Amino acid sequence: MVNTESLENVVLELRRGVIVLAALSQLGSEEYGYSLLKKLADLGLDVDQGTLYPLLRRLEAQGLLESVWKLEESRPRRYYVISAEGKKLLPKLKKEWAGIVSVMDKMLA
Amino acid sequence: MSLVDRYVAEVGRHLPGEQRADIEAEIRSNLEDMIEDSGEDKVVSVLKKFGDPELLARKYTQKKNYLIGRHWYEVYMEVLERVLSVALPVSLIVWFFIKFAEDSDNLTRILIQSASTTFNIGIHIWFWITVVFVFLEHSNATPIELGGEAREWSPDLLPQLPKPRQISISEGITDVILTLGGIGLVAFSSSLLRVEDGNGAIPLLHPDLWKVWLPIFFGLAGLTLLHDLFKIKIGNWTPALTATNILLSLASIGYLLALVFTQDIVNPAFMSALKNETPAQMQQSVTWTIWISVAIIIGCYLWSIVNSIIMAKRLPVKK
Repeated sequence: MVNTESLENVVLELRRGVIVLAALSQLGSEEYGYSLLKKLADLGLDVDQGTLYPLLRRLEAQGLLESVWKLEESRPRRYYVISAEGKKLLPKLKKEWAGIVSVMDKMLA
Repeated sequence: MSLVDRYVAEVGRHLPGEQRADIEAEIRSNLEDMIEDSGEDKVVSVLKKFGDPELLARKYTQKKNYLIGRHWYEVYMEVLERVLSVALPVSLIVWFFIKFAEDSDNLTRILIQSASTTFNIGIHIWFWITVVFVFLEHSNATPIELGGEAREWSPDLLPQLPKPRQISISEGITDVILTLGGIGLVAFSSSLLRVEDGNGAIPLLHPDLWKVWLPIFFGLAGLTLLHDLFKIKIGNWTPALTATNILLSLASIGYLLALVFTQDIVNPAFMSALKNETPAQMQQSVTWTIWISVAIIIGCYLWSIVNSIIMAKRLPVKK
């Protein structure tokens, strides 16, 4: 019998690293928290609010994202977009990811 | 107040002041976006998706929600263990003698008092060491930074394996402390083991013992101390160490037996002073205490002989 709890833990660990790359890749244009969450979900990656929103702030603190408050539809929203530094990093991360995928594909085939 | 207001306030309560307003505003805007999307009646399920406000706040701040983390834990435990393993026995012995010198009448009370004082000291030590390490942890220092240079690890840095030891350092140190305690007890016996009566202090030990028997005691104890030190240095029951242990133990047993059977240990003046001060059982119990102590000490010596012989047989063969 599969232990569902340990399965969930491993899946969670696997996803955690991916979310950073996913968020960076989708922030070429400005998104606010909820719109990014929906965008990722539409593309097939379900991320917890509790994970994504704090992550955006962390990435901003690391200088990979920039953010600005905008008032629209009578509601203030914090928009995030990839920074110059993030743009430099993203191709390297993509390459790293492609390497991991090809290795793991071979390994799991 | 709406559920959203309460949720946002609850997250804010766990956030540091300088970030609070900003993060609160962001959470509120994210929440309202999602509620708008899911429908006004779905507030509860939206909030459930956001989860425990305290957990959410913690993810934002990444505040340390522990006292001592993995960098310091090992060092902390090591320091605690070392300090306590020395301080507690020393404190117990020292307090025992201090209380004994103040008032030697009630041994049980003295034992309880010195044990409880030692317990308090232990709690204090534990508390203050913990405080220091919590401070280190939350000052964001790491053991390597404080230890000076941060070297890159390489296999050369692996410590040499310790020589196999049969006699641990702590065991050796305990023996030294016990021997020193014995020497101290006898050397200061005229002030430690005594009763007060109207004319002044009367020592427990017979004054005649100081002529021959106590000097022999100091000689034996001095040799034992030397032997204890060699035990720490050598660390194994080598034939020479085992032989001297047997000799010294037998000599000590012989000395004690000769002492109790041929000499008056207790000062007659001490007994008559007791007679005036306390009921007859007291005198009885002094005699009993001496006999029991001698029996225990002889038992320890016998055990030491047996133990050293067993260990000597198990001595690892030199390659």
